[in-house]
Amino acid sequence: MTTLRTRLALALLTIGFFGSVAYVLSRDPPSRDQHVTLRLGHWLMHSGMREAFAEAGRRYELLHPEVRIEQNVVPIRSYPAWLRTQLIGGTAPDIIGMFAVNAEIINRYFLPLNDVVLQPNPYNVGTPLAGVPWRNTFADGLESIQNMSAATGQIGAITLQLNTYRLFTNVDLLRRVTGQTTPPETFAALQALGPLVETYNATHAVSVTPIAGCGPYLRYVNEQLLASQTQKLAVALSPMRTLKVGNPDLALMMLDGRAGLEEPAVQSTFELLREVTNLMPPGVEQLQRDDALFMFLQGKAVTFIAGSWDYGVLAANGNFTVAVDPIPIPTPDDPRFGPFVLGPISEAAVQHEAPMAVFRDSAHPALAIDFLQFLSSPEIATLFSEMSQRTSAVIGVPPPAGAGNLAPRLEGEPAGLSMELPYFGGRNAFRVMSNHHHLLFGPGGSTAAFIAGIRADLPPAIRDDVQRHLSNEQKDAQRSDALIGLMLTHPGGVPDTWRERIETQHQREGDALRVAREVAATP
Amino acid sequence: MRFPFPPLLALGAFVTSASFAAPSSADPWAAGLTLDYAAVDAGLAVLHASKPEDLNAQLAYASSLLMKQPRSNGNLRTALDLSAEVLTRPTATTDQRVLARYLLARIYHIHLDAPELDHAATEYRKLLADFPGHPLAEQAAVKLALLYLYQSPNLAPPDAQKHVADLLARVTTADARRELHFLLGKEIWLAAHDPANALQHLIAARELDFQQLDRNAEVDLMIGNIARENGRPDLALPHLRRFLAQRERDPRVTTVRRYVRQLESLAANDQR
Repeated sequence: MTTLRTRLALALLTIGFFGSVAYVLSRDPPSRDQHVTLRLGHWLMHSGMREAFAEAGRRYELLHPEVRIEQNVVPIRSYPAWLRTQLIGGTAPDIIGMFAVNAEIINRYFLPLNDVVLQPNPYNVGTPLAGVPWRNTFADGLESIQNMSAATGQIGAITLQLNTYRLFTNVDLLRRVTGQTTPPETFAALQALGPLVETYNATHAVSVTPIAGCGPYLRYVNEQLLASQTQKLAVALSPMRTLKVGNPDLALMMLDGRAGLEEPAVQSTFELLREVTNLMPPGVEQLQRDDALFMFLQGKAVTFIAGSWDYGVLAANGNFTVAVDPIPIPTPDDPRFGPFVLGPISEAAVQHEAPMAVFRDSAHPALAIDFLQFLSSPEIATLFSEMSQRTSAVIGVPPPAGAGNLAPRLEGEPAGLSMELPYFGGRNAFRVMSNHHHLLFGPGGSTAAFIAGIRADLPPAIRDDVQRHLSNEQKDAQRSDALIGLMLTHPGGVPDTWRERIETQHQREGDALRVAREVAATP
Repeated sequence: MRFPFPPLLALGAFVTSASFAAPSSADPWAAGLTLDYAAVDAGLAVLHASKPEDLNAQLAYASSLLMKQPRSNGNLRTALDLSAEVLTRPTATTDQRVLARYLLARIYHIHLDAPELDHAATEYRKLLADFPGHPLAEQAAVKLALLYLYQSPNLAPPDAQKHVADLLARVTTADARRELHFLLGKEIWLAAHDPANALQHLIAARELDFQQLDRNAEVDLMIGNIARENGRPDLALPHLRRFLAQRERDPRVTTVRRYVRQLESLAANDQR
């Protein structure tokens, strides 16, 4: 009986299996729709971005009726995990916003665009960018993208927009507080807001603050305002006279005293940080972006130091006139902070935003590249700029109407030293300084107390960061050896790029060994 | 009899594994060049095992072991053995012998947990002695220079620089000569503070053209500013102008333009 049942079950299963196979092979395609769907995944939910992508997609579909553009927008907090899952599972969209990725992910999952960016963008015909290699139509020539993957030199994305840091002013409130409508143009003018706001608060029984700020945005203060204090020092200390000091060399100089805590320009950097945070709400480091944004939008702050990406929200939701200006830095004639300043800081090397890559396993790679070329044509880049209220990365595209000051300031002097080493090694030095900000900020704070507080902990933290940096550099050199070996044994012929790879390796290996030797020699 | 029926599952698993395994084993080099560590060494291990006479596959497999994760000294020792074995094969071409020895040197130099710098130096020297003029063999001179300059604590800086100058006299390929000139120029400037000598080497390096996108402009700026600060406006001006020509958008452009204007003004005053 059992055998009969087994045979019956087997027979049914076999019939079912082959029946299913026959059905699948013989059936019509699920849809007669001849459209190709191009999927675009990104995290850019800010005001105007989704709308701009949708409008660009609509216009592309008019040009290419056989194509449908589909957006997949994922909140920024879950985007890194979502992206990795999609990439590993092979289900990523054809075009992917490149965010929170490292060189390994770029090389493994994103299509190299190195060859195609050397050709002109076909959508630039009839524009001033006609015939220009696609790469050179972007503000930084895609260098910042290529630097993300230094070991292989892969260009894994193009970038649609640029970020700048700006002082946004509530002009209506400024007039009520100061009687003026011209936003502060110098740091001294910004400082002068302090007592005027105090008087205004006292006479109107309100609680207005001169600058809305928050913890995450304090780094923009660092990069623009504080960097003014070490402009002259950076030029003087630049080891090979290139007018800049890289983080490893800065760490070395902090250890050997050339940029140590006794250096007047360094002390002035901390003093300036103290002065500017005194104009912000108490406990500013604990506040988040939304706190600062609401404070400004509710008319409780005269100004707001924020990013160009915030302009769209401010312009759309502020019930007042918003002025956009560069973050004012001390002028050279400022009696307190001027002696260390060279001048306004150039923004030629601005941060890229909205980098877009093509998934290596996309079913439609050529179409995906074509859509990226469409997105970065002057017409569509201008549309993006207007709808998203952001600055385009495409050369010649005007900034959003009424916000010309969002565009990067190309004239200016190099920034000074990034004294808090926010992006170096394991960020130990950065943490030591952040953990002692309470000694610097507020009515009871002082630069002397802050320096005394970090004096013991800072050198070992810097050494740890240097070690982490050197370890990363060694791993990179090891990886380069493997890549060079693979290039030189490639059955399809040796690519000439092996020479560039080994040159990059020599340079980075040499720099790391030199820093290691010199750090070991510091007391 | 249990469900699901195992043979059907096995068939499904076979079809699935075959379809997903195909891409990585088809071109393990592509996997390596895209930093797919798992696929590259598996693919090359299979290839090497199936074609032991293919020395290119053997060297590629040895190379892949240098990036295999997690790293282990066992893998590195295997890579050493595979590379050393190539050197014993009479059928090995010159390029294969050079790469095999170069890999040996690199493993001793930066891959082992406890680097064997003397062994690395020996292998680099053999490369230079046995394969003069070979593009990869002469890169060994640059690595040897790094050993002299930064990893020889008993060597005084002038002596280390002398060793590097000797290496420079031996190599003939432009890539190796350029890097040695650059290293010497940099060290002479940083350690010996001898601008005239440093400039000579930096200019020689610059004339040989770097491969990296922005390095020519960086070296032009180095030469221009060192020359400007050390009384050589005749050298400074052309290099600062070359920097400006290459770097339209750079945060240093305004400052460099000012330097150029100052130098031009000085030159004009001298002519009067």
